[in-house]
Amino acid sequence: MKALCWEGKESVAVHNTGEPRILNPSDAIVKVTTAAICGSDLHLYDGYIPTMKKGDILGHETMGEVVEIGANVKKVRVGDRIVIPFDIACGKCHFCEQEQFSICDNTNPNAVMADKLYGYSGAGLFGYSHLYGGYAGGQAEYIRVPHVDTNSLVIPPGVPDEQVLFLSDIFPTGYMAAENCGIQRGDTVAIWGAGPVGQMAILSAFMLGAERVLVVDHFPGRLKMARDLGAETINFEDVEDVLDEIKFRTGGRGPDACIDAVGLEAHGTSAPAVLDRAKAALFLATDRPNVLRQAIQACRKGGVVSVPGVYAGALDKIPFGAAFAKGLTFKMGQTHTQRYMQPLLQRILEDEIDPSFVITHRIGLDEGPEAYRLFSENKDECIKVVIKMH
Amino acid sequence: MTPTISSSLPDLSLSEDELLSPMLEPKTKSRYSITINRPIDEVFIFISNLRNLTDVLVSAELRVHDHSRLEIDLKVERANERISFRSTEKSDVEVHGEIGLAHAPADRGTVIALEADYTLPGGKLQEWLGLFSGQDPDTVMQIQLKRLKSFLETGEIPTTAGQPSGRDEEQPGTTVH
Ligand SMILES: NC(=O)c1ccc[n+]([C@@H]2O[C@H](COP(=O)([O-])OP(=O)(O)OC[C@H]3O[C@@H](n4cnc5c(N)ncnc54)[C@H](O)[C@@H]3O)[C@@H](O)[C@H]2O)c1
Ligand SMILES: [Zn+2]
Ligand SMILES: [Zn+2]
Repeated sequence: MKALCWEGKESVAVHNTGEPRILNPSDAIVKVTTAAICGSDLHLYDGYIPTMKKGDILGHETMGEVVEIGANVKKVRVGDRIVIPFDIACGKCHFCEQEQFSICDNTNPNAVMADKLYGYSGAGLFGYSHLYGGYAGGQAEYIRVPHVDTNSLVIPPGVPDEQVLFLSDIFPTGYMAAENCGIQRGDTVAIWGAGPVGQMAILSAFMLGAERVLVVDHFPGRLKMARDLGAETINFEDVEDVLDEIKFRTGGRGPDACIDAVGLEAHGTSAPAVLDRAKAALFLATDRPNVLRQAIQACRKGGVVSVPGVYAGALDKIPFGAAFAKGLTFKMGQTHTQRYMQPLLQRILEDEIDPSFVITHRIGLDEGPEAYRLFSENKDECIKVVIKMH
Repeated sequence: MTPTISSSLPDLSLSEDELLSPMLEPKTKSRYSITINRPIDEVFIFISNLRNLTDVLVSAELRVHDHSRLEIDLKVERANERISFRSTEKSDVEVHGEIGLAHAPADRGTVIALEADYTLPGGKLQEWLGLFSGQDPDTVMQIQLKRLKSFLETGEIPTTAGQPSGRDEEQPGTTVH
């Protein structure tokens, strides 16, 4: 089959590989119909996430048709059309029982490695480094899905792929980011990053009752999309000081909650050179926490800082004193996608929301390498790429 | 050599192999505990089966290589509470230790705590570690206990062995679907 593979920093290639097969009794094999490229994939592309291997199949926003199931699969049937969450959960461990699917105990075959880095390992993820299990991803014609009864959302016939594909990641991610803000009536939420995750967070913040949403980015196209959703925007290149601007616009009080939908590659600082080795990445603070610093500084007293943006290593000069002095609450992590897929699908089916508005590019698999380059270099024009597989 | 699980960040490097393997000095004492989201009697019955316990103490790689290298005598000291074990004279590796079982608080499963002392025969040391592809007994034990936990909780052990990648282009796989 054909698959998009990570070749090294800023290098993605189409390869002919073998097809996946059932390796465990709870597995299914899915013929991928549509996949997407995520901002998280850019962290791999830019070389920020350690333990990628040349040839790893990328992709974690995937949907398709089930073509084969293992002996222990009970709910999912061959022929079902499913959306696949990016985080792989077993459905049986203590954390899965608490619906904290992305920190499942049982799906990372390399858990000992993650234990050594982080104390304890989270769930395995599709197409997201060997630290997260080394699972082949979904930017491919076929994908193997472990524990498919837990890691699937069956889509009723007649609903187009593009309307439901983002239930695999960015819609639940934006939603959980907003939910983590504990929004009360009248609240103002500030969001850094007007990428797809930021856009989904805007939608969700309004859905959860926010009165105002302020969005910070520097791409006019993305900021316009945010305004179309009803947000007020700040172009950080046009204002003297983002923090002053936010403080002024929030009555000197600050936003009730701040969402960092940017993560470890925030622009606008003198970024330290990207170091190639994980050792350095984890010891010498190469994540660029510019946005996180601002979010902490901007947040009102007693407010919440919600972090869907990905971080991987140690962070430098985080104003923890400010967080302490203001009594802030921090919420973060990989999204517990499985928890949100069904209720958010319901909203899509009821025509309340259509998350496909973020799509700017539709391509075939062969155009994948070029699409990575475009998404990386021209974010104003390129907001979300979907790949038609079959 | 301390028997503790290191709480500081280890020396990290890029590749998975590097991350998993380097332990400068092999530990001769290991202890590790893990919580399994299953009832205590079920866990007890499983690990008091000699073969399952041997699986935990020794990696599959080692057994494939030479299954006579470790033979264990197992003793149930107290049902659902304590099992002790000791290698027999026939074994190349001397190991003895204990497994304690306890209820996790608030019905959160079963805690098993494994402590083992290994004596690695001189000369055999390099060879023995070589069989673990450089992994020390402590890491091997952690990996095996995690596999045990996954198996008891989900009925399977997570794996990616046999999945496709861009590395298998030299021998393109067959089309099955
Ligand atoms: N927690 C999760 O489970 C999860 C899931 C999906 C994505 N993510 C993460 O969410 C983040 C956003 O994803 P995306 O797909 O929207 O990515 P994206 O790269 O398309 O968007 C990021 C946006 O941040 C903006 N930005 C950069 N520096 C900024 C700054 N200093 N101030 C304000 N804005 C700034 C960029 O201009 C860009 O528009 C990434 O870190 C991604 O890895 C996390
Ligand atoms: Zn993603
Ligand atoms: Zn789980």
